[in-house]
Amino acid sequence: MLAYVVRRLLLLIPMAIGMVVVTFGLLLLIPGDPAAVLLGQDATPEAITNLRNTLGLNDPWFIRLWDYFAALLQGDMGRSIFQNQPVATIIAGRLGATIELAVVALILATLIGLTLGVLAAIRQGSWIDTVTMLFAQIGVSMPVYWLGLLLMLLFAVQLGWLPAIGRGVPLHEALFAAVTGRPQVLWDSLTHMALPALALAANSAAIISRLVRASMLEVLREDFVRTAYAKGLRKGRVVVRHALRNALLPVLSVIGLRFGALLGGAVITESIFAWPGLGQLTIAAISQRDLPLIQGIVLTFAIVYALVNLVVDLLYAAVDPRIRLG
Amino acid sequence: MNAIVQNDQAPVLQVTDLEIEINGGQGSFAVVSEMNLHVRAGETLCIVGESGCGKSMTALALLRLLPDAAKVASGKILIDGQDFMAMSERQVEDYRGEKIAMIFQEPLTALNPVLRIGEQIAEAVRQHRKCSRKEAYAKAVETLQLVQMPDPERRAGQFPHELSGGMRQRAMIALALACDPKIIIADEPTTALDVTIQAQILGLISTCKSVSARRKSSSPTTSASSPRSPIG
Ligand SMILES: Nc1ncnc2c1ncn2[C@@H]1O[C@H](COP(=O)(O)OP(=O)(O)OP(=O)(O)O)[C@@H](O)[C@H]1O
Ligand SMILES: [Mg+2]
Repeated sequence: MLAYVVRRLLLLIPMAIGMVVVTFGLLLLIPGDPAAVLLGQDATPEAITNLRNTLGLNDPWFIRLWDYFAALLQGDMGRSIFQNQPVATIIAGRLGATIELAVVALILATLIGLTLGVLAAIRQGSWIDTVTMLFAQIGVSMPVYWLGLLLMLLFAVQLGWLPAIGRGVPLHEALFAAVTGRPQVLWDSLTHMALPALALAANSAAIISRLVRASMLEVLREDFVRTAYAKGLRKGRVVVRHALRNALLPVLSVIGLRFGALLGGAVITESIFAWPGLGQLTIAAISQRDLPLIQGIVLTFAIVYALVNLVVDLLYAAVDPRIRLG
Repeated sequence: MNAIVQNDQAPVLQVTDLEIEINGGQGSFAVVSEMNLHVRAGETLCIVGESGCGKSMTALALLRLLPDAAKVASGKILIDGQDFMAMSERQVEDYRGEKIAMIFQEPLTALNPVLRIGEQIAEAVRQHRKCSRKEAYAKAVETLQLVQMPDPERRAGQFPHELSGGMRQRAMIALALACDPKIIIADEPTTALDVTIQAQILGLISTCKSVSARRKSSSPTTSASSPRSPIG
């Protein structure tokens, strides 16, 4: 088990190298020049060339790639061209907000998806099933920016129940504040979290609910479910302990994959709701052609995604005794 | 299909004019009809018939666990003199495993792959007896010992895929015996096994019958349905 984890962690290295090379290649291909963006519209060509030299942008691509790796080995992700700060510092200041949003959205999506999927499966063919699957269909086909704007319009603008944009105190600090007698801090954080998390979760919730339904329907027909009934167990216990536990197996790996989609969706959601995370930063970095920052963000996303999937694989092995890691 | 045994005691299980219908693509048809049987305490009844004649269907009907496509169209099932077909779902659940238990045909698929053998048996015990988790587990290990599971303590902690075919069948039998039911239905308990193990398992079922007969005042009954293995 430990050997497995170590091996998976070591695999991160070639993955990270591949990631950096691919991003680097893509950035070479897209048009746009950070020096030109930085100096503004009235800059002279000489000034731009000079700045490009200072930034090292005129070196051949393999030198630049080599320099980047050499620095990365020492834990240095370079400096942001525009913010004139180390990329690592900028990312560290933003990563928490994105992870928080993505994790809350994932939990939300899983809870909603499981509940709807199980209900639809045990009431197959009833109106509950129909309504649930209709919602799932809408959720799957509705893009996050559209849903985000609709939610904002309804709950923030029309009803005025929830704040439209921004973030409260980070959730773990808010929890601490609530425990030490200031629950309004937690409330504030949660109300800010509600709309972006819901918008981000909807798509995954829909996908998970469909999958849970299909998986449950299959498992409910299995012989061991009949055995569980034959023991005299109550229906709720059979559904949760015997059927759901087995139906979760295929769902679990999809939940891991959804985390990647959530990180991607966070880029858009954060821009809509002015959520101060990596996603918002990504959009800014791309429009400014802030190359080192883009590299750093992509690398961070890739590593977070790989780590989450490692955790999912470990969970999988914990739930299914037939799986041997190694 | 008709089996009547002469005895003075009141029957634990009495089936009268049972008809089981299946809803196929072109309307419904009967797979079992005019089924009459009764079993008294201590008796063993065998239902013999060719493949597909409705033995498994009958067994499932006795637990009210027929698949969605099938239903009991008419007839009566009395367990301990109580009308089983008229009972509420709650009452039926209380009867299953406690009064009437079943050993299923295929133990690999009939056991839950992600739960330990001991847990699966203990769960049945806890459903019907007021006892702690620990006591239920001890009872599970004890039952595994009764069905001659080798090294029962260790095996109880294992998952179905870690056992051999014969051991799985023993676990299945232990599951059915765990709450000392009055009636045990064994649906071809040995089809998945080779001949020597078949003999062992059948021997085991009759031993268990007499063991639990000695342990309890009211003796349990085995109603075994098995075409390939002639037992009495
Ligand atoms: N879900 C179902 N839908 C429709 N017909 C079914 C279904 N299950 C079983 N049948 C039919 O019911 C009949 C009785 O099946 P059953 O399983 O009781 O046979 P069996 O006597 O146990 O046979 P075997 O010795 O092979 O186990 C068969 O003809 C089968 O085709
Ligand atoms: Mg059968």
